Amino acid sequence: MTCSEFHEILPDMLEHEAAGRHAAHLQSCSSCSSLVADLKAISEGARLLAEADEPSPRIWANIQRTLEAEGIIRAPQQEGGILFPRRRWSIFIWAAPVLAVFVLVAGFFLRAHNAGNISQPVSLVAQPGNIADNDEQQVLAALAPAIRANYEDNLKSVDAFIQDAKDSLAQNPDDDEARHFLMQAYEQKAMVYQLAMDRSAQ
Amino acid sequence: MVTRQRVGQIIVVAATCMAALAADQIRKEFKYNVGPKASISINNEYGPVTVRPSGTNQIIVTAVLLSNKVEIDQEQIGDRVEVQSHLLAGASKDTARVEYQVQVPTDTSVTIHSSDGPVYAEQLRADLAVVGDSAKVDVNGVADAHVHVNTLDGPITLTNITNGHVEISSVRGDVNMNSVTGPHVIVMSTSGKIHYDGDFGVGGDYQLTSHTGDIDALVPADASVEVTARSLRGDVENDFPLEPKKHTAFLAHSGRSFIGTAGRAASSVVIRSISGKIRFKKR
Repeated sequence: MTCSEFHEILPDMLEHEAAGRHAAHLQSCSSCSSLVADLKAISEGARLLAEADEPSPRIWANIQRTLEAEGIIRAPQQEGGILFPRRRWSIFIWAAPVLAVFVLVAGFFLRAHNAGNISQPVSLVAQPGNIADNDEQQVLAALAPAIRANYEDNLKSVDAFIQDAKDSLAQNPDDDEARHFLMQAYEQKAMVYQLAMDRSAQ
Repeated sequence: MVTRQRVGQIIVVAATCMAALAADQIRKEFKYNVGPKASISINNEYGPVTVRPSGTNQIIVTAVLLSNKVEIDQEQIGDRVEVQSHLLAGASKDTARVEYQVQVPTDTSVTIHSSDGPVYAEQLRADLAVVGDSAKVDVNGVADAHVHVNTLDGPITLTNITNGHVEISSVRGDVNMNSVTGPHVIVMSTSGKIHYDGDFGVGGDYQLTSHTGDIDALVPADASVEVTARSLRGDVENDFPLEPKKHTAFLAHSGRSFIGTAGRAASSVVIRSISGKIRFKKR
């Protein structure tokens, strides 16, 4: 069994003990065993965090719907398992919670930052596209006029990247590379938001 | 004659302005004794930041303030030092400018925020993080460290980075890398160009990604790499002798992608673009 074959069933390793050839691979491959150990530690940490401050299931459901609509994750069609490995894109499942956390944190940041400026609270539960539009308006509004235009231009570039990646993914839903581009584009947008929030805080 | 008089007047006015400016300049120096693995954070809204090794156990910060519209807030808490340009009421981009020369023990972690820079750092052996809007960022001779740089449109140049965990992200800035190696080198620019000149080291994971920016890699003939290059809509060129790979994650299309190995394929190199041109060339 190769490492890449093992990676296919990696998500199952969080909930099940390895058996058969998977266990054999885990014993013989220090890289994969180390990876599984790390993932279990992260999973355990995330569980503790979740227990500490668990948002309502409705919020998670809405975030999931938004991510599905954006094409970042897909609704489960068939439950995978050790005997029936999931499709290759399952490796990106790890990225979905990260992005969901980003959306959540960005929402809270924006709400906190604009608490004195807006009459309506920022809605975390919005239609796809609206989240980005609203966030963008608020991020730009918080910046000094002298630098706003530059941020606006850069956000346009990133939005074009996101749109291009979405189109590519729509044309080739099974293309891992297209999905990777979309993730990267969102990471760029997160970076711009972070820079903008740093600047607006000064 | 009139022209000569005019030039003379301009020189006198310019000299007067420079003298006035020099008179307004304020030079400040701060010294901090620190232990091993100290850290410093420098936040400079406008103006250059240069970081070099001090060769001692001291952090020495020299700041030249160009007006009294800005002041320096600084604090040492144990081995952590924070320095910030504090803009006062009425400060503008010109009057708020501060020029920093910073000397640090080589094992000091350095974090720099600067909106227009430029930022220059060299010969460090500890983590370096640079965040800037349009700041030109130049990092030279950093080893065994994390090097993280984020800019909006500031160009980024990395030279002689060894054993680095390198993460570079820019929206519109070009990224140039010369002799950059390490276990983890991730570079992303939405529309800036990415240029890599080097051998990709041994055992590293290299990912160069763009949306529309072109990506070039200039590689010596003895490089040991497994290369995957793909542009969804841009051209892909390769003149490096690669062995074709039998099992691939996607179907390679001539002119749009290629996959192959060279040497023992010690490092993994993945180059991706949506519409940028990719060139993989033998040096």
